[in-house]
Amino acid sequence: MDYGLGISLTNLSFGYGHSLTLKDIDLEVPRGTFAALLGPNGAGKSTLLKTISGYLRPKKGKVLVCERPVHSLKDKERSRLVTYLAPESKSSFDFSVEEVVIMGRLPYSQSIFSHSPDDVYFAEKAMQITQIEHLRHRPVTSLSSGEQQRVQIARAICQDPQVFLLDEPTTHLDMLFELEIMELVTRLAQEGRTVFAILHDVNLALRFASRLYFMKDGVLTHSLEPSDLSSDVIREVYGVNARIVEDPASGARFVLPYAGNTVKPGACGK
Amino acid sequence: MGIDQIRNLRQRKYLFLAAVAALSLISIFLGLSLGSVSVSVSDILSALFEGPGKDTEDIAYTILWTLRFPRVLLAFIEGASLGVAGAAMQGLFRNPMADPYVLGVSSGASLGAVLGIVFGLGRVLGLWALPVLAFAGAFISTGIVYLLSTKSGRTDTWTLLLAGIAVSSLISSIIAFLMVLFRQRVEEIVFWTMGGLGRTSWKVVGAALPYAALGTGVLWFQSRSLNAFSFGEEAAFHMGVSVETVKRRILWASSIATASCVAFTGPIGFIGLIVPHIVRILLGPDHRWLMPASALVGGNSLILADLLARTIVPPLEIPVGVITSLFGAPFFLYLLARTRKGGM
Repeated sequence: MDYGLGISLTNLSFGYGHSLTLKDIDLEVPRGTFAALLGPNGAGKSTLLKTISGYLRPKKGKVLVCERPVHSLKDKERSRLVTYLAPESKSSFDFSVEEVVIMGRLPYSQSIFSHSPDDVYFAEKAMQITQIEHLRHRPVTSLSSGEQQRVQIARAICQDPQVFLLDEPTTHLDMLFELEIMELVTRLAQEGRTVFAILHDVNLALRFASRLYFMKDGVLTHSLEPSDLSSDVIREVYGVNARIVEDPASGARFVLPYAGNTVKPGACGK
Repeated sequence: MGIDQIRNLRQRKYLFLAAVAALSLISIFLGLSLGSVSVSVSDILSALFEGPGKDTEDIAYTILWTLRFPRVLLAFIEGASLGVAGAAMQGLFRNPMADPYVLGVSSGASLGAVLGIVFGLGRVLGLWALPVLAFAGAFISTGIVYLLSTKSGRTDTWTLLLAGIAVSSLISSIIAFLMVLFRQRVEEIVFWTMGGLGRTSWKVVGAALPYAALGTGVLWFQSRSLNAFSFGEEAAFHMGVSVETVKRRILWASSIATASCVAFTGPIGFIGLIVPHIVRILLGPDHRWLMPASALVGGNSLILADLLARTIVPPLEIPVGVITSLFGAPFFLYLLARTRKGGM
């Protein structure tokens, strides 16, 4: 299954003034991959996704999405190719859930006024697979954070881009929906879409993603298969001692950090 | 099933628009009929059928064609522009307190007119001096606000809001200063800045209408982008909106739409602030519907406000801006209290 590259970054740097938030990043995500982006707070993960999405302009280097220079595409064309989903987005007005979901069709709009049958079809499908059909007439402002997050995911799916950049898509979700969204994202990747998601939870990434990228201080430090994740990586990136444990029943591996036994910066490698 | 429900909602929205359109017709008839001289509905209809320009001694006919028709029309056009521009500004700033005047349109127009008044330019250059100066003033102040908040092609929305407030208050103090210097003109200045439709003629309607139509039309075409703005400019960018282009269009279109009317009538407050709120409560926040509905409700409101302004204390004519504030402010407070209780 080789579809080419979903995301390709060459020597990418971003920053304001002299300080760089992203330093010389080279990264390739093949199409049809669910890749996870991990790292401590302030590592530059969101900045990286927003640079890939076209929102931030790199200081130097090349950004290609599906082999196309995302920063020189027209807005509608770009958003049919890639979308970025913020960890939280609140509406200032009380649009209904279905009105928000169908907003995803904006880059396809022929008319300023009416929706095409295609638009309605995509909105219905997106609400169905994110299980928010029963909320369709509720104002988004009245929903819980988790429900709002599912609405946003539905909107992104309705937008139907080739590449999804998700910034902590499971922040407000409870355990069940967290798993369901992860399965949904995995399915998107199986259908040939590229998903690059910032995940807070290493274990979630370990279980669902097929590629892990670690960032620290604006630098891409590791790029590995989930099976290659070792406790050294966790220590180097997060400064936390951990053990990789295997569940005897399923064979799934997970990271078990040692509480109260954090490594001070500079003490790495001892 | 889902599609049916969208259709049902759509039908409800058409129904609402039809109802407001019908109300507008009633307001127009009231505005034409009532005043210092009452004109019956049959007289209005016969004057309409006879058309303008008939040479006649008939007082009703003359009053209708020379005074009331243009006045009611301008009230409708201005109310509609204010309603649509208010909806656009609130959508752009994601702030329910925004109105068409946040960018300095009304203060700029006032300064232009006040300069014309204190230097007696109306007497020298004729009837069009004040409106032209006011129109220019509105654009100069909007331009200053725009330039202050735009850097390398990007306009910062919060700077825009703050610069608008700062420029407006600077201009207000200049006007106050001019009023002290030119005390003999104070009454004229005060009357202009309180807003009124008393100076309306067909020429005024003809001058304002194209700009108002152009501005509101352009705004309506930004509806879907404005919907996306509801989640913030960054989210709108990721939904494929050309954020900076749309922002610029909204700023200039709403300035054109409101300045073209305000230049003739002086600033009329509260319509642009409240009308979009009322419509949003009744119809939802979708700008594709919000804007045309705000146009109708705004037009309606200003016709009725103007009717009150000229009939409430005859033979005096109260500035219509006073009426809109008198009714608008308490109504706005009521809306605030309602939303605070979560009664939306």
